[in-house]
Amino acid sequence: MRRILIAIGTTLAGLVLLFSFPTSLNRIAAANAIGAAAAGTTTAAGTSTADATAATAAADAATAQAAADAAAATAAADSNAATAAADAAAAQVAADAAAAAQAAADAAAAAAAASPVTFDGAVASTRYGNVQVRITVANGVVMASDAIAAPSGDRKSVQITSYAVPILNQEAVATSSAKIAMVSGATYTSGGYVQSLQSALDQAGL
Amino acid sequence: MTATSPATTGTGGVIEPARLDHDRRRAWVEQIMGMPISVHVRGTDARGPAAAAAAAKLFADLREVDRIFSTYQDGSEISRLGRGELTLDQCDPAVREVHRLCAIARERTDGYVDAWAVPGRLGLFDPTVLVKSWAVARAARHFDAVPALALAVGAGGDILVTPGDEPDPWIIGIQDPQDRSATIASVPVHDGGIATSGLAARGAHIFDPHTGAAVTEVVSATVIGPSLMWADVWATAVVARGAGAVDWVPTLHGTTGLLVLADGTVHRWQNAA
Repeated sequence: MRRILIAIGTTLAGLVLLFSFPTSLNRIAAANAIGAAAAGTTTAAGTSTADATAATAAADAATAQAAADAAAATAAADSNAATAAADAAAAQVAADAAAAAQAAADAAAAAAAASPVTFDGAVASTRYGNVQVRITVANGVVMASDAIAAPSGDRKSVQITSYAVPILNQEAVATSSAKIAMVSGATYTSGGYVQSLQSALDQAGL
Repeated sequence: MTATSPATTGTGGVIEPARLDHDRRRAWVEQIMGMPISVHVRGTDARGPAAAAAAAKLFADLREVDRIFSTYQDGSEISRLGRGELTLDQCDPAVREVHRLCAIARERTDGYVDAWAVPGRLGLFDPTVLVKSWAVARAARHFDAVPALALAVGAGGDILVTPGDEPDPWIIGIQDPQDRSATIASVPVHDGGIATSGLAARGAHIFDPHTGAAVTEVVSATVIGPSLMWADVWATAVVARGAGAVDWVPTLHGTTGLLVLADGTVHRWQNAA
């Protein structure tokens, strides 16, 4: 039994790796704009938001560090080529990815139907608190995935949600007036540091 | 330059704000790998001994990485590898890990980030392009010992942040490539990496590996993403691609960023994960 489970897990992990490369480059990215819009429409219309029982996209959002890379977990679910990517703000290692793939496969099987449907994954406990992933599937393709706040309303989960894609402030800011702690700029050397903004910011906390 | 922490808002002056802020923040700076490493923490124990110990370990970790990876030291493993005195298998496991990451980076950037095509060192393995950000992300693990603290590590313009138990994000300024004393944008980040590549600090020093020519079309690119190392790789690739990068950045899913073209045009993007 244990061997069978290992074999299944390995296969799923393999699928994840197999499919994640092309999707990470083009397909998902291209679909994102549409996906975002589609997700919005679905939610607004409230027509087809399926509930979570089938989908268990468990994603370890604590590993946001590794996320963009391991981003897309794709699983082919049936002959209709219903594909689902659990693009987690998470997915650290194969074990996690396999769990996500399982979830995505379940979701896709349920979603082989039609218009965009969203699935909420099971709540995963991570070192940053509880995290839940929502994926949006349309025509068998995952259009979007987001980390959503856990039902507990845990503060850290809200942070992760807002983290998902940080929003650049459009306007220029005066460094002294904002709560800026660090400045990102082209690599500077020790020699350039003395005049740098970062040097001034460091002084405040030394 | 007074940064206001959340705890000071609305306290009505019960506690003197500047003092409270001081107690909840700490910064350390050391010069390693020829650049300043700034470590900032926020939280209740910001000035406790555990935070100081973690910072010391972080710096020690980076010095060790420099000892192994420096291309300026003849005795480093990277230098010895280049001279054929060591094989990859004889190197530190860290070298092999970085070697693998460089191969992945080369593939994922269509060769625009290529550790084997560094001008003047053609054919030699020179992982300088990503080893700094890789090392910072790795060294930050020492702060796992003080998980409640929010952490920000800046390394010559590339920044790693983690949230700890702090409700407020880190606010990261993005330097104006035309005026190093000013920022052109700011971004709140709880957890992730912010990297900027550009021509501002050292003049033209980024090359298109395909042609060997210095690139000039993109003067600065900033990428914000979950991984500091990949943000760094993407930012370098954006600059190396030149103006064509405007059409490439939509493929960097899960990232936010901006690039500044030579004519001053600013292009921003924000891609779903």
